[in-house]
Amino acid sequence: MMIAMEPLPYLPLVLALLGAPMLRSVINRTKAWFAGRRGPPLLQPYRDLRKLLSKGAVYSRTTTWMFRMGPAVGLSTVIVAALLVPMATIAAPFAFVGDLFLFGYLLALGRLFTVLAALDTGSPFEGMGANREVYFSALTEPVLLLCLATLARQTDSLSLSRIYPAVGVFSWSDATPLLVLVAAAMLIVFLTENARIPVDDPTTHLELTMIHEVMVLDHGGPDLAFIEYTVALKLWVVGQLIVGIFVPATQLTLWGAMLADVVGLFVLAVLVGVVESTMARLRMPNVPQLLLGAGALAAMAWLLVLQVGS
Amino acid sequence: MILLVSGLVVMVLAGVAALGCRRIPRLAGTIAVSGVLSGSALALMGAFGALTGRAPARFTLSTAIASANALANDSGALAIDALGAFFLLVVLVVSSLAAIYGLGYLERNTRTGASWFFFNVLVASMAFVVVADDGFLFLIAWELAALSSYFLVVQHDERAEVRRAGWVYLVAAHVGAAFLVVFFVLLGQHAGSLRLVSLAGPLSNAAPLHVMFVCALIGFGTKAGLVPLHPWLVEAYPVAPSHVSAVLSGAMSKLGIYGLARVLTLLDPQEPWGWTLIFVGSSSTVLAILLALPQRDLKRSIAYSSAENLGIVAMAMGLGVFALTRGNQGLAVVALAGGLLHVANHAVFKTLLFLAAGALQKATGTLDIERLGGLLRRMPITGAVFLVGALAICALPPFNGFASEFILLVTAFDTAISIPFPVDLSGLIVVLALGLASGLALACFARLVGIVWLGEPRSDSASAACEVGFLMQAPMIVLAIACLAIGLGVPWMLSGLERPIAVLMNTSSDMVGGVLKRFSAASLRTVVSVGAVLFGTIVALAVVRKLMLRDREVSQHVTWGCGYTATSSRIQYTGSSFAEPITELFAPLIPHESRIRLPTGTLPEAAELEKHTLDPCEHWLYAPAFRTIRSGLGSLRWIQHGRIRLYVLYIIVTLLVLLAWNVG
Repeated sequence: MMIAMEPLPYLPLVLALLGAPMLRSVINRTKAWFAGRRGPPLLQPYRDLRKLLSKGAVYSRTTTWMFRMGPAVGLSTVIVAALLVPMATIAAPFAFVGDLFLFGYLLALGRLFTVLAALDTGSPFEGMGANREVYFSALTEPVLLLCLATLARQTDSLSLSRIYPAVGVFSWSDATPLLVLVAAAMLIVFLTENARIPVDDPTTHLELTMIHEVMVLDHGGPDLAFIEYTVALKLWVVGQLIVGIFVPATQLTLWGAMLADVVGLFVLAVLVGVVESTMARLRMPNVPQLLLGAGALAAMAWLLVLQVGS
Repeated sequence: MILLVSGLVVMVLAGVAALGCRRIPRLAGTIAVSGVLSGSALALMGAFGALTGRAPARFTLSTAIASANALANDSGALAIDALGAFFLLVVLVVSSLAAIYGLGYLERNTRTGASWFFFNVLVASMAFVVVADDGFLFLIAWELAALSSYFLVVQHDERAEVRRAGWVYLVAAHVGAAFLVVFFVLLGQHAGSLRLVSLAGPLSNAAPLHVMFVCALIGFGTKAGLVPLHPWLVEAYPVAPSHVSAVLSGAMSKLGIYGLARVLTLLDPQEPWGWTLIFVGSSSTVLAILLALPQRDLKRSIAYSSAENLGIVAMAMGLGVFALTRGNQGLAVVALAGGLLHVANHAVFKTLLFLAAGALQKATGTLDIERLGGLLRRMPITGAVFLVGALAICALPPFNGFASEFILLVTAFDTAISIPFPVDLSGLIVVLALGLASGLALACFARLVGIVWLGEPRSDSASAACEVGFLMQAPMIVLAIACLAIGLGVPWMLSGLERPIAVLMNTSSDMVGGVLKRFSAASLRTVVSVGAVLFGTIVALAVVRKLMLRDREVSQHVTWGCGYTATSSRIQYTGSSFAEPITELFAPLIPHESRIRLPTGTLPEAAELEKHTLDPCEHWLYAPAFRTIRSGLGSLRWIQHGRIRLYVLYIIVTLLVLLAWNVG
């Protein structure tokens, strides 16, 4: 067990809290570049958050405390999940055997409250979004666990704060195909988890085709600010699980590794922008196939790790 | 031990007294419930010593009379050790809370007395099952529990589906018991005694261990409701009165797990059993939650999820068996701790969910989720505790379900990492099954909470509902608090499992205690502190939000309808549509019956679509099997023709044949 008392392990959380909205600007800028537009200023997400936070709110007469709780619980789960993820060689503030499961289940808790807040409005559109959310996430959960199981076996440890530093050092020399497969599967999980194309389109205009955006239609003011901030933080936190595979943290100095990690996150954001600019959203019935494909990639990675191990 | 036995006797006597004054239903209920409560208190006082570590206590009739040295080898004995005491605790706590609830729940009529009589007999006989030291006594108590619960299930026998469910239950209970009889006969034959608790040591390899294990797995697995032995449970749980459903699912199904655990102490665990348990457990987990998803009947859905959770326990036992056969004691301790903890946790949250469903039924008169909705406003307490139960059953932190699934996932990962091929695959199977099942459980309970409690009411009876009385609320509140308390207190509570696990593994409790302490220190305590941080963050953000909105304009309006605001609650998303995409994806596993009338012609008339999800085991396995049996037996009908003279002839012929056989 470890609960960090010194300030350094909390630095990644501070970085995440400050930098997360910037990831959304980078994605938007990339998409704007592809479309030949100038795009919004880089600080726009921060301005949006400030504007929303200073507003009042309108609540539906149908809703109960569940609707008001939803955004606060969602944001809390992501903040706490950020406390479990290591950055560079800095172990997470909470690092222990099995923290990877807690990470997954915390995200699930946030998801359930978002879904329940959506159902609380009684709107058929929000019900539809809630339905799709639980459907697709039920399929991503085993994939995420399988990816983490592969990494755990490869590095022989059961804590994110041990797995990630170890992956960067020796694995790339002898297990490249395995890590590429895991990273590919995790990228699909990342896109699904964050409601991006090809699973969900955050900028579509038709409620019938949305997943995440339609669930939060009725929220406004500070509640919506919480939700927008949650979305940004989730990009950052889940993105770190992918970037961490590529950064050879122990080979670099502490600050070099941190810098590499942050740069990696923005490269990931550019990649998301590229995917969104060059691909269309999949038809809903085809999304499970994509997720099963991710599962197949992860399963292949597992087979490889068996071979490496024996 | 005297305390324990007298507690059970008090319970039965109170039941008889309740039957005696059935003309005054209120009095009958009060007597019966106070019998259950005082009897449970006495029995638990008696069992406390066993759980905290005195040697197994034995009780025979002679000790009661002469209180002299107990004969070592007489039959008809009762005994309790830590394992039995743990299950006794689960059974009696669940039953006591359900009894208090039942006092407010049962309508008061002339049947109430009989109902309470059977309830008390059921509770006492379940307690007898876990303290029976003798196989014969065990079977008697087992049968008594099955019969008394049958009478409780068919309490509303004026309804045809109740009679049918009761019949299915009776058949399943006895098919299961038949396998147990075979198991005990083999045990007696090879062990030389039928002792279960105070045994000399596990049976050697000379005995047909595999046959015995399979018989035990079928017999006990039926009671636990493991797939494919579960169809009786989804018939019986929903139609029983809710406090009885809670006892059946919260307490009685655990007796199946108790039996399996006992079997692992009686027989030396073998590696193929690990595979069997993992396979049965993982298919129960995934299939049962898939089937829970599309059910329209709230209690039926919860009943299916019962099979899912007992599948999780079976997987934990499977991992335990693997670790034991590979000599990895530490891993076995953690696996079994996860399993036993999940037994207790499931007892808590499943009882809670059934009780809340009962309250809902009492308030609205229906369990059809398509006719409910918007009830959180009308029944705030019941709704809140149902939400807690749902969070716990979805294994979300910081509630108790997460604690046990977390332990199990760590064990499974450890198995996948540290034990060589092919056993490491079992760890992977468990991880995948749990991952898929927890996602599906989230979908299932998001649907139940969202459709039933949130939104607008879908029928008049739902909009007229109001909160139930205090007698029904109190047990639910206690259980909801327990969900959170176990979730946050698990590192400290785990030491209570040390002796039951030591009995289960036949080793010293110091070793077990050491492993559990190290495991708590390595992860559980931090899990709990993360839970506390989470709780703090939620409260902090809620306060921040409140402060921000304090001086601003906060108004109420209708839900934004995307430009279409027809004010009918029927436009809300339905439970069936919520489940449809997922059941469609898994269609090869879930058979369904559908009837479609498509619109035809230039001026089409009304179209129709009807779809029913069927249980795959019942549809593909039991229904054909029982049809075959019936048609097979039908061909013997000619023997039974109604002519008395020929019947007399049968008797005479039989007698003559027997006589000839005896003489010859």
